Amino acid sequence: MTEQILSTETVGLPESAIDVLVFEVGEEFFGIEASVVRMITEFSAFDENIIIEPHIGSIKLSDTKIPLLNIAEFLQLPSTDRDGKLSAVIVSLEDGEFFSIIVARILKTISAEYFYKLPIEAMRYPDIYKSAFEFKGKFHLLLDLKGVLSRLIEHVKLQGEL
Amino acid sequence: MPSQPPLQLLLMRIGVFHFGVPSLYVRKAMNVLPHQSVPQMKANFGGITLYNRRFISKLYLDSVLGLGLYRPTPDNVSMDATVIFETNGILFCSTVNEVDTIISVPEKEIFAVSDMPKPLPPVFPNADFLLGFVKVRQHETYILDVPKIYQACFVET
Repeated sequence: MTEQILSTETVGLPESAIDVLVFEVGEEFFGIEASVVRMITEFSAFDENIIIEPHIGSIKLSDTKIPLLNIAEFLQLPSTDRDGKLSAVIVSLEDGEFFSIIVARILKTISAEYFYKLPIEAMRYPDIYKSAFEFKGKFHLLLDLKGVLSRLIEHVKLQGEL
Repeated sequence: MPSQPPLQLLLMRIGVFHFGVPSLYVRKAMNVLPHQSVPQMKANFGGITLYNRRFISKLYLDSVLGLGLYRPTPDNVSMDATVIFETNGILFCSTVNEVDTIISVPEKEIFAVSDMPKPLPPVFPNADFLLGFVKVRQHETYILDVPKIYQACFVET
């Protein structure tokens, strides 16, 4: 499915519709494929089960701690919340590993049919976005969480924090 | 030795500086296209622009050329335009303050930047990205080296 999205150069060709979870980070809207989402939970910055770090913190769910990616920091966007509340979107990719991302708020899940290829040659990291999609008359970026995770780990390793 | 054919240049202006772009590298010049910012782009890129039903990157040429940001005063009538460039099979765009006509310049009228009268002004386009200059209507018009700009902005960063 991913390859199918990447190969779509222009909007003209309808793909089979894909559910996209749209959320806000740093006053911008982004999306991820809804199929990778396992759970969404709201929390406050003072929640004792949450450790927010500049790059990778953690969230404790039942007895399991899973990585919590601070994507606002990674994307160099302001960290925003809604009345002190943030949300963690828990995802699992093909390898079955769970991790989560911090978002300011969830907007909705949409069924997107058209995906626009991005000019990756101008991107610092060519693998953190899959494409752009349209929502409420504007275009937004569909994140490639596998790429985001690996770039964040790379970044943290370089800084000697892992 | 046969002489080179005249160079076709699209004339444009960024701030107070006049530039010519070899028409070979220009796909189109049009009214300003809106762009949207994208986090984590390479240096000097300002976002993406939808052109011809596909997204292309927007390059801040003033920044690449070291001119600093130029903003017209509110009294000025904006003649800003978006120029779509194409090189190495890649399309990208830049917003400039004015686009003029296309001229044809014989090789003998093109001079090296090192031949510019000295001293050069303190703010001057980065000579690394200039092929030379030509005098057009009393203005020194700097010829942009688009492949070199591509190499520096898309490949080496």
